[in-house]
Amino acid sequence: MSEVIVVTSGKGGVGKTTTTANIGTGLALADKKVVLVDADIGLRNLDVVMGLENRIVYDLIDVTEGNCRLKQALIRDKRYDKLFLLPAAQTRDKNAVSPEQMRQLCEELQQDFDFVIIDCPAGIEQGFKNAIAGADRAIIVTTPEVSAVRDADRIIGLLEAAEMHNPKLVVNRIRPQMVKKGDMMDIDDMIDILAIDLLGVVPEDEHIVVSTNRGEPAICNEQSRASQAYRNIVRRILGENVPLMSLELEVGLVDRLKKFFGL
Amino acid sequence: MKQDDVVVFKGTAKGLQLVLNDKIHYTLLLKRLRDKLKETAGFFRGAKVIVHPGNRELQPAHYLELSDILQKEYGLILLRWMAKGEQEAVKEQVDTVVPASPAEISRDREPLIVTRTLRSGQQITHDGSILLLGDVNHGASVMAGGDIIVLGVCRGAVHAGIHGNAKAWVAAHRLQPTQLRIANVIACAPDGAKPPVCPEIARMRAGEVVIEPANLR
Ligand SMILES: Nc1ncnc2c1ncn2[C@@H]1O[C@H](COP(=O)(O)OP(=O)(O)OP(=O)(O)O)[C@@H](O)[C@H]1O
Ligand SMILES: [Mg+2]
Repeated sequence: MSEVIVVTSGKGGVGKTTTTANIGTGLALADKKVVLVDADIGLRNLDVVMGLENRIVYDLIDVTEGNCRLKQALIRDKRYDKLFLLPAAQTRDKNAVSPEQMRQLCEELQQDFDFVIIDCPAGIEQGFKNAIAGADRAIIVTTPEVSAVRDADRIIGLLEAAEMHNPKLVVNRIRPQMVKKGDMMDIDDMIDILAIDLLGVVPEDEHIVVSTNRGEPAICNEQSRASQAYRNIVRRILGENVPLMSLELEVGLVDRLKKFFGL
Repeated sequence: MKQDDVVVFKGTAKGLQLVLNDKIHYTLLLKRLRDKLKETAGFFRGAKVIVHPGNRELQPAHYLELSDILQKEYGLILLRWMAKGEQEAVKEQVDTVVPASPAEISRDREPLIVTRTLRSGQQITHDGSILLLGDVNHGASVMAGGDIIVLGVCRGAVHAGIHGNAKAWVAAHRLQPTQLRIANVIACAPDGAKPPVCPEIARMRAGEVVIEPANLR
């Protein structure tokens, strides 16, 4: 059973590419065959985050335009045999591909992979429509900021309109200290507004910056707090019932449970 | 012709009405209809609609095709096709964009019941009253000729009495809209307002919007 998951947000810079890279790597660590698709045509990043930039020969547009076969454009990861990347074209724009072409591409990739993970560009225009066209499920990334949550809400509405229901939420860059002091939105507030299931909470973590620059997803580094969070997210994607880790509990979810049980 | 004019959804006294342009080519009409529904499909799913095909001569096959698009592909409920004689009467009504005087708005217009949360960017307009079971999020808006009841958290923009009925009101389980209008009076949320702790109702009193606890007295 193969799944196509799109990672999207509406607002830019909240961590879609970081989430795609880490979830994809985590799934490969769990022995799944995974392909990451960079749908951010014209602003590709995923290749850099994965440290595969110098291996690009063909890209997604070469595939849709028939300049090469799909297999030729897939780049195998340096570390994990079962992980592949389909890079975006950098010299083209979002209109170089259509939703129909993306749908076909995803279908073709599904034949060979357990998971197809699509890194969506920011915005709600053509690039977004392309990225979601072939997906079965969506992961919404937001940061604990009012503007990011509003954009996430807009995206959830658009996904519903495209008949994609029950997206899952990843809250990124949370700072437990700030939440405790009441200086940052807590998870409860966000879930109240968005009313979707929480897939995980990723802390603000310097390791992310270091690993992004090195081209090695943070999930590989077990020392990092973000790594632990991504590992949990991956297990939840694989259907395991992983309890929220202490960090996740620090940031407002205890309250939620209390309310639930009427304590 | 603007794309938006080809396929138009209107909330009228008789319910949701879909007006199909009768000038453009049939195949183009189908495409525009699908485009429109694709953009808004989740929104109208389950909605009951009366279809107004204009003066176009539709073949039986066309009726079937259109009804399949609406019902099978996008989950609307087609109540009926509008007859020719009826078109004129309703057309007039649809075109009255100018606010009618309050007296002309009867309070017994069919209320519209919506059973979903309205998210940012989504909007509902209806000539009668609206009962919404769900939240109205920031960036969403609800506009009713009559009253508005939100059985959930109302955070977006709400406008009751859009045709000028100053007796219209808005009630919500938690009433914290960014903007609230009754007839022509606009009230904005004060900066730094505390979230409400009980159901509230907003009404017009002496030309101002007043918000108070919604007691069942
Ligand atoms: N948990 C985190 N802790 C610290 N820094 C982070 C975290 N997540 C993301 N970042 C940093 O935030 C920046 C933006 O992240 P990323 O590129 O993944 O966002 P994006 O949503 O893909 O952006 P775009 O909309 O431009 O595609 C990067 O520099 C990344 O290193
Ligand atoms: Mg990105």
